[in-house]
Amino acid sequence: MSSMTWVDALVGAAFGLWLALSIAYQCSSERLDRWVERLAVVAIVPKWNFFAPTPGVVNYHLLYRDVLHGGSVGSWNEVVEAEPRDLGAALWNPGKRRAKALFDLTVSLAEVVERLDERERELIRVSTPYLALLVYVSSLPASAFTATRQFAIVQTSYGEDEARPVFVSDVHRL
Amino acid sequence: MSDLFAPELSLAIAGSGVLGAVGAAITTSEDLRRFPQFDDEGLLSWQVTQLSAPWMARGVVGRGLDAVLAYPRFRAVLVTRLLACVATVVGLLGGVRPVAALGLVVLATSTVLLSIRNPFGVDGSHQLAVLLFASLAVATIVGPDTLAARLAVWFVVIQACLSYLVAGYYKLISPAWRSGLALPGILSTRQYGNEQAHRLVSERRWVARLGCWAVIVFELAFPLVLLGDPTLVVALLLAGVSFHAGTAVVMSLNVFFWMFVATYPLVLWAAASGPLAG
Repeated sequence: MSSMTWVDALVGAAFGLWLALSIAYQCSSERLDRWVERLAVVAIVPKWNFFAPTPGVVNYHLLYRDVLHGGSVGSWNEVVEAEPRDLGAALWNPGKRRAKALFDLTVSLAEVVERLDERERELIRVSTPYLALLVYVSSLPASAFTATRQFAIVQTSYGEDEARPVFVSDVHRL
Repeated sequence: MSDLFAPELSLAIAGSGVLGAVGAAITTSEDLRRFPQFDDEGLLSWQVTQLSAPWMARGVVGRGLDAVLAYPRFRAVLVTRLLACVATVVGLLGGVRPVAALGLVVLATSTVLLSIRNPFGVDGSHQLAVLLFASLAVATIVGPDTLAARLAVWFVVIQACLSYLVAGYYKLISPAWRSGLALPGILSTRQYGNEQAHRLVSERRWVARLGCWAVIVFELAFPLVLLGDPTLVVALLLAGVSFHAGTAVVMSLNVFFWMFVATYPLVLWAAASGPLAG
C-alpha cells in the first residue's frame, strides 16, 4: 500500500469527524442534541432511531375554522394531505412530500407546545411549525364573509373514540 | 469468498452510485410532478423556513440561498438534480469518471440544499442520501485506487451498520417493540398505516410479536456482515432487501429501499476486504 498523502489525511479527518459526531448524536442527550441540531440544520448528522424507542402510534389532525365578520364562528374543518395509497406507491409516491410535511409540522408543533407552557405562548407563535401551519391554513379558500381564521391540532389513536385537543392557535386576520 | 461476492472497489462504487441515483431520480421526479407544493403559501414554503435561522435570510449566504431556493426558481435545482442522476448513471456505467464525479457532487449538494429548504417533509432516507452521495463523490474524484476512496467508502459502510444497530437497539429497549404492540400501532396510523397489514397483526398477536422481533434481530445482527462469512453476508443482505421492499410495499417508504440497498455493494466490498473478513 502506498504511503498516506495529504488528500488521504484530509479525507480521513473529515469523515472521521463526521462519523464521531454521528455516533455522539445517537446517544440522545438533550444538551448535545441542541448543539448538533445547529449543525444538523443541513441534515448532515443523521439520527438513526427509526420508530423507536417510542413508535409513533397516534394521528395528528390539522383543523381550521373561520370567524365571520358578524362574529359567528364556523365549524372545524380538517385539512387532509395524506392521499390514498395503493401498491404503486411502493414505486412512485408523489404525494408523500406534502403529507410528510404536514405530519412533521403537526408533530413538531405538538412537541413545542409540550415543551413550553402557556406563559411562553409567544414563543410558540413564532416557532417555525406554527408559522408554517398558519401560512398554509391562511391560504386555503375562504368566503367573502370570513374575517379571521384559527387552526388547531387534535390527536387520535386507533381504538379510541375521542379526539384529544393538543393545541388551538390564536385567531388571525386573513 | 468467491469473486462474485468480492467486488472490486470501482464496481462497488458504481453499483452503489447507480442504485442511489435511481432513488434520487424517483424522488426528484415526484417533486417535479407536484412542483406547486413548494410555493410560498404551502406547507413547503421557503419564506417560512428562512425565518428559522438568521443566516438563511440575511447576508451573502442568505441572498445566495434565496437565489436558488425561492419559488419558482427552485425548479432549476430539481431539474439539475434530475440531470445529475442521469450523469451519475451514465458516468459510472460508462466508466467516464469526470461525468460521474460531477453528477455525484451535484447530487450531494442538491440533497443538502433540499434539507435546508424543507427540513419538514424529508424522511430518514434523505439523511442517508447526503452521506452516501458525498462519500461516493469523494471516492470518485480521488479514484478507487486511493486510500482516501477506501476511507470514504468505509464511512458509508460504518454508517449503514450504525443505522441498523442503533435502530435495533432502540427497538430492543422499547416495551412497545418487545411486546409486539409497536407494529399494530404504527400500521394503524394514517401516515404509515396499511389496512390489510394492520388487520393481520392486530388480529393475530403472535404475528405482531414475531414481526417486531424479526426486525429487532435483523437490525442488531446486520453489523455482523463485516465478519465476511459468505453465508452470513448473503443472508443479511437478502434480509435487508426483503425488509426494505416490505416497508416500501406496506408503508410506501419507496425511496428507503433504494438508498439503503445502495449501500449494500459497498458493504459487500467491505465484508470481503475488511479487517474482520475471514
